[in-house]
Amino acid sequence: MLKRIPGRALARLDGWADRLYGWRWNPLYQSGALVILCLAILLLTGLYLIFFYRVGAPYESMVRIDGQVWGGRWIRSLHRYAADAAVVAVVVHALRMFCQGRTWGPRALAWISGVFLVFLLYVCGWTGYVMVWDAHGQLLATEGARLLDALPLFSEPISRTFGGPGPLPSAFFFMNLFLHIAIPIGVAIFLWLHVSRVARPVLLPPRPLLWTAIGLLAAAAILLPAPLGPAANLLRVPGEVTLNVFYSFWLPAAGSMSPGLVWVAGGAAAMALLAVPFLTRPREDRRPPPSFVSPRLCTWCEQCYVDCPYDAIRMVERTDGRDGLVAEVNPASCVSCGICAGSCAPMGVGPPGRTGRDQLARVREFVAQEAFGGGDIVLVACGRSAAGAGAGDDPPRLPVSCAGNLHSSVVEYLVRAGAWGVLVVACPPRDCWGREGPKWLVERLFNEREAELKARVDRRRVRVAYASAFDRGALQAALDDFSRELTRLDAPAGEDGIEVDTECELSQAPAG
Amino acid sequence: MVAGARRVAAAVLAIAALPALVLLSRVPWRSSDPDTAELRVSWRIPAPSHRRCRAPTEAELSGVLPHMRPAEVCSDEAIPFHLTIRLNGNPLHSGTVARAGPRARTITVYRSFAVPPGSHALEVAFLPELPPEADPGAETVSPPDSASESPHSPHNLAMTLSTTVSAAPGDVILVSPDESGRLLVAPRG
Repeated sequence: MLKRIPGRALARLDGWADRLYGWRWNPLYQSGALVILCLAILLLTGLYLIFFYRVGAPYESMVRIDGQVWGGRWIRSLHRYAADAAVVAVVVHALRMFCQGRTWGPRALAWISGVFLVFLLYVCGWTGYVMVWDAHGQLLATEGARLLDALPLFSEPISRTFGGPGPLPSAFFFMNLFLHIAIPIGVAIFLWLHVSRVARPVLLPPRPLLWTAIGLLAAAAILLPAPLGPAANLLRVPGEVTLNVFYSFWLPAAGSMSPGLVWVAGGAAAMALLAVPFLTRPREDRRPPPSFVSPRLCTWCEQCYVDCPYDAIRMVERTDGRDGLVAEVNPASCVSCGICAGSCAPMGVGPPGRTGRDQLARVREFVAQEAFGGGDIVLVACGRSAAGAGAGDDPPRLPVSCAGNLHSSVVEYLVRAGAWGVLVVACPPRDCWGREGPKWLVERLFNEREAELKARVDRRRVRVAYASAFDRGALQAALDDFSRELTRLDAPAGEDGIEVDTECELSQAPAG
Repeated sequence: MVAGARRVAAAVLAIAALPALVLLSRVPWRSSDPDTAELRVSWRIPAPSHRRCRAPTEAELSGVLPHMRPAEVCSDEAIPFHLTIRLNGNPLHSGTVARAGPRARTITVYRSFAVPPGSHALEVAFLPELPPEADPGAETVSPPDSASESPHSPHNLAMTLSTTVSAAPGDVILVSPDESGRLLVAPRG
């Protein structure tokens, strides 16, 4: 329930954003990459601003940056809006991963390191606001001191630092500045951990989206620059301040609670977030099993090892008396995406029940049950795509767990069996549950990537379409377009007794 | 949706996200009651202590090498202070203030209270809680490196204040000692 309701809402939002921006530029799919983009903007603008910051006169240096430094006000605003946008992107990213069940098993490290990244982002934001030393910064500093004083860590209350009447020592601002600069180093380490379990992590959004995001943030910074609040005054209670909802949303609630209660509430929230991988893990009998390798069929081509989006496959020495290497799956890293099944020409690897051979058995049954009429298009539908649920007026539909799982032999079989056309409906590539499914599928069907669609198959009868779960419009448009194209072709001649290659010769060791 | 309209809607939505981001980054919020001021007491003093010394027992001496036997065994006992704050004759706070731990060399006072703006009679007393009967063997010292008659003796560290203060809404009435150890109010009302 906790996952289903926001999950459906998010999927609807995806479909809506797909229609507006197209799946290529849908920012909801790029939330993780947008966070990194925002962090990069923060780093670059921060490097500029640091030259003009004075720990001995923090507020005065902000006034100087705003008024005298070339582009200072805009760059400070860009720094701040990028920090705000990072929080928005983080929330979308975390919600996506949670709703899509990408939080447990091999993905637990990414989730837990992500929680630490959020914590660091907030501490960094906190120190950043304190650096400005306006009324909002004063409020964050005094509230932080109040919370820290509740912990049995310090022999003297830190709040006394802000007790007045003298000015705050430069050492305080130096420490604050040091933290503001040092924390990003911690962010870099956790970011590395965050993506360490995936192969070929996508760190930046596609270029048009990247420049659009930068342009929009820059436009906000120029047209609506961030104002500087009144200077902090320790002998005045901060009255009305401009609260930043992204970083200080907790202040109104925390201000009216005892520090102990704030710690209990914050600790409970942190524990709940850290426990998500354990709480969302399916029961053992419901977990999708990891892939396995049939050593007899493995030809040492290394394609599954290259294609695996989670680096879960390695090549090891054979132990069956034959020369060379054999693929081996590390079950601890395998998320059971099945992409290896689509990559193996002799169909010797994949999750149990979803290998190329299993798929071939299913398509034989499917063809035997479905009598293809003239002009029939067969939908090969990823379960998470718009065609996954199916609809009454849909053409014959062969479900697959992931488009990247699909073995090209299945497509070959359908075409040779007389299907007018085969439309593989996948999730948008950046939203693939198995990460790189649609990418490898297209390569295998149209660009001769191992295990390629055989040359004997008429590729005009094969098409790949992307449609997220609630984007029926995209599916219908793809179907209509494909139907139009197919009407130009002759009726297919269905074959009987179709034989598909299921084994490869184990030749010499691959070159290189 | 026709492509042109879709593009316009996409651009409008992206541009509308800007003011949304900006507005959420500067939501006006009043952090405190506009009709209150704050009374803040804040200082730090060297922590005084009682030192009690006695001759070591035979058992204690027997466990120590002859050249390491002490002439006397001493222990330090911290002297806490009692802080009383009265506003317009009404008690605002009354409690003991002690050093934070056995190794702490200072006693820190930091309290803040929301008070109504206006003129108030303020009384603050910060007095040592000396034992009622002095132990003949006890000596008062503090800090360890200063003499008992120093300005840091408990009696010299005692502070009291009785004055009238006035504060506007949002003002902080800060009570803290000056260099001579006299409690003062800042800003001067």
